Amino acid sequence: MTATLCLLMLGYAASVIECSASVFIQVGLMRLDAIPALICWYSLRQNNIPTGIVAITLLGLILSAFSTIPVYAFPVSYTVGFLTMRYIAANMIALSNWQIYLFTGFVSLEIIVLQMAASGNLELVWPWGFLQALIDVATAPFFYWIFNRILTFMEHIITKEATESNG
Amino acid sequence: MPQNQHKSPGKKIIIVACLIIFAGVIGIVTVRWRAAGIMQPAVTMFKDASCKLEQVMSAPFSRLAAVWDSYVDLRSVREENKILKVQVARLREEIAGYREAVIENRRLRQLLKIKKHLPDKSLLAHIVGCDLAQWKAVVTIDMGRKDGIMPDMPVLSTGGVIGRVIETGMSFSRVMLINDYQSRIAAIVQRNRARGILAGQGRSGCSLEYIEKGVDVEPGDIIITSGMDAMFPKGLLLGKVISVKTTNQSKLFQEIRVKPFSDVNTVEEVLVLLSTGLQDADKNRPAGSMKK
Repeated sequence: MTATLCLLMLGYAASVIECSASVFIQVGLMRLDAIPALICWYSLRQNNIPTGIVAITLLGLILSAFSTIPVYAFPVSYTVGFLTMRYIAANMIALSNWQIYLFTGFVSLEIIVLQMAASGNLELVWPWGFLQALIDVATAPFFYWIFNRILTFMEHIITKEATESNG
Repeated sequence: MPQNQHKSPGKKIIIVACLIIFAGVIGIVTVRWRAAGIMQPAVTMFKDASCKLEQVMSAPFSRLAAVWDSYVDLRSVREENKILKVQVARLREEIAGYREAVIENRRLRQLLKIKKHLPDKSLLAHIVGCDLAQWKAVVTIDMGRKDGIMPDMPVLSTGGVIGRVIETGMSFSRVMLINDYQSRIAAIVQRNRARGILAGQGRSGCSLEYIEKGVDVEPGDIIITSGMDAMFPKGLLLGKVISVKTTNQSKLFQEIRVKPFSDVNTVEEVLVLLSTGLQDADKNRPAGSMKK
């Protein structure tokens, strides 16, 4: 539940930052994008697939308010990304960090391809989509570190509040 | 016991009187010699020697005083330094703010100049964000339906047309820039009135499409709106032709690259044309009549 809350909060915050600070974080058609990493991070923590799909769809619907591409593009692409990562995680034993980061890039490419196809710009997948996926692989360790810290912090607060209310 | 105490009072008086007389004589002689300038070189030499001595003697003391002062000053300098650092930071911020205000003022003056030349009512808006999909050249402005903005209204910047409104909220609107891959504007070449469609090509600018191979278009030609799309008034500046390719035999039309006059990547303020005349014409048209 905390991870889901974290997903929605961080997803919203990341999209607000990306939209308002694009001048500083965008080069060409590439941008420092935290959302694919966030989806993969959440996929590794959410074992309940129906809950995960609902949360990811909700995130997609929230984020579609920040874009002019068709509304269905975000929920569909994010859900596909979530299920891909879930499938990978379920079929691999002891994923190492570098593998997780690599799969993040793969999922990122998947998301970009679906969104570009939905917006009618599929011709941009090469080279921009691939370059974006590479950036997502490179920045994944940083984003995973931040997400883990925030999750730990939130869990700490929730545990503290629960202890206080019980006590 | 000292011997002076054994001297009689008469002797003491004589000694004091002698000293006074001696001092008086010396005084008179000195005054006379000074008046005559006889003692002057000796006095000067004496003063010079004294000054040298003073100088030599004062050096260690002044060093000691300097060390002491430095120590005393250092205590206050540290505090002062902190205060000054804060002041410098604040002043830097102020200067940056003034500089920003000057630049903004310059931009707004340019926009005002354009606004004066426009026949229709327009509204100044600030760009506050962009699209979440990084390949979309769509920006968000801080004015919406409550300010009278409606979809399909033209948006201008200092260079000319920059896009059109595609979506409106109560207090925000989304503007599709002319370099967006989905943007299409009816355009003409100002020099020879050749008609085409200005299509967005992402960050590389725009292209003028559907211009046949025989039509004379050269780099440097100005592209303006034709008004045929019933969205943009005729004659607004769009961009300048930067290259023309006619070599590709398989294509029916020329490949014309256009650089927009407005710098779509750095623009911060825009003008939204609230009534373009075209919309008024639509309103005045009798119900059921055909749209031209």
